[in-house]
Amino acid sequence: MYQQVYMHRVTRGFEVLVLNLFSAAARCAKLTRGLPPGTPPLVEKYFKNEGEIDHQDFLRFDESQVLSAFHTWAANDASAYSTINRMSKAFLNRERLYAAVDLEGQAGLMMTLGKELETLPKEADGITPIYGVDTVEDTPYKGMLYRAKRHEGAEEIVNESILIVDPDDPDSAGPVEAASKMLKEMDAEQFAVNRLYYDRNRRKDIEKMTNKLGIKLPKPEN
Amino acid sequence: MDGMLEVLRLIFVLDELKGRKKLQKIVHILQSRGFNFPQRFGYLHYGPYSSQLASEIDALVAGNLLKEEKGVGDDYTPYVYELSDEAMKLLKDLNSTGKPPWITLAKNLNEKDPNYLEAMSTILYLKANGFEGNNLRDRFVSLKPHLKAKFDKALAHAASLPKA
Repeated sequence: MYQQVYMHRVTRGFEVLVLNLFSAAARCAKLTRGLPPGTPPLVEKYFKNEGEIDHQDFLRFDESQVLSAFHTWAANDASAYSTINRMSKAFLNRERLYAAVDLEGQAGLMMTLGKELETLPKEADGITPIYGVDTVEDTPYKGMLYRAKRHEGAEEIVNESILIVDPDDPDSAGPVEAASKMLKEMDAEQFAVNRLYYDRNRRKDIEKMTNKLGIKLPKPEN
Repeated sequence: MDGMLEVLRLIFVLDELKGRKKLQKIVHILQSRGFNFPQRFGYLHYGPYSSQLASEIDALVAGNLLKEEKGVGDDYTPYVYELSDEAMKLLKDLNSTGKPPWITLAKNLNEKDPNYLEAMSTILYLKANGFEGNNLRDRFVSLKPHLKAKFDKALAHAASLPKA
């Protein structure tokens, strides 16, 4: 179900929102003014130190701390905090801020896209991107059996798969993908999602680039 | 995406590269010296290894940007990687055919055998994780008993590598 659930465009769209919001918060935490007043101290510390917190703090750093911060940021509409304010609100209101478009081209298109994305304007804070991308780096399945068909040699299977072994036959170790019908079905082909997520409110900024690359955006939703 | 582009540039400057293992180790060594290879590496059975890099190679081959040919010889002859004409055009379009800062180091590493690179890569990984002196040697021998004879030379070589 990974592909259908965890790689679903809506699920991943919200992950892009959280990633970009975290990126904006990290930048804000390092400025003199810091994050908005009322931000839980542990959240402030986490972003200021780029995620480096001690073990005791780590045990207390949970979802409730982060959600509490989102509520604080969503309630602060000072212009200095406009990016994290808007993105926190979108998250809390379950607003689908990002639209997704599947990309048909392969590695060549993705690399060209990567260069073009660098030229796009940013969010109001001047640093947070207005997009997200799914590429081969986000591929959940490793394609053990797919690779095994192409390459002799066991390095990738030994490195990446869970090996199972018959206790009565120590030489029988093999990748779990070869022993499970379900995993075999999911793993026998190369699986990759190439997808661009873009802020629906910045469609005009994106369109110039996508037209140049021959990427057709979906029609805007009302 | 940046990772795939750097891999293409690497093979562009090397003309050809023999073996997936060698590619893994060269990229890891370049990254450990501070050059801009963004792949995530972990320590696995054969030493530092990046599943991201392996996936990127597969994607580049599937996209007809890398030519992957089985070398001539026995079953363990490594695959040979070269750029396709499409990749050459892409690099030109992206203004990425200039000389990267790691070119000399990459060419030097490409002349070494994969086991030697595995030793160097493992040493650099252990050093980055706080191992030094006898602790480094002991852990290396425990992880790589078959490469014990290469340790001293690889250690000295690793220490002499230029930084970004």
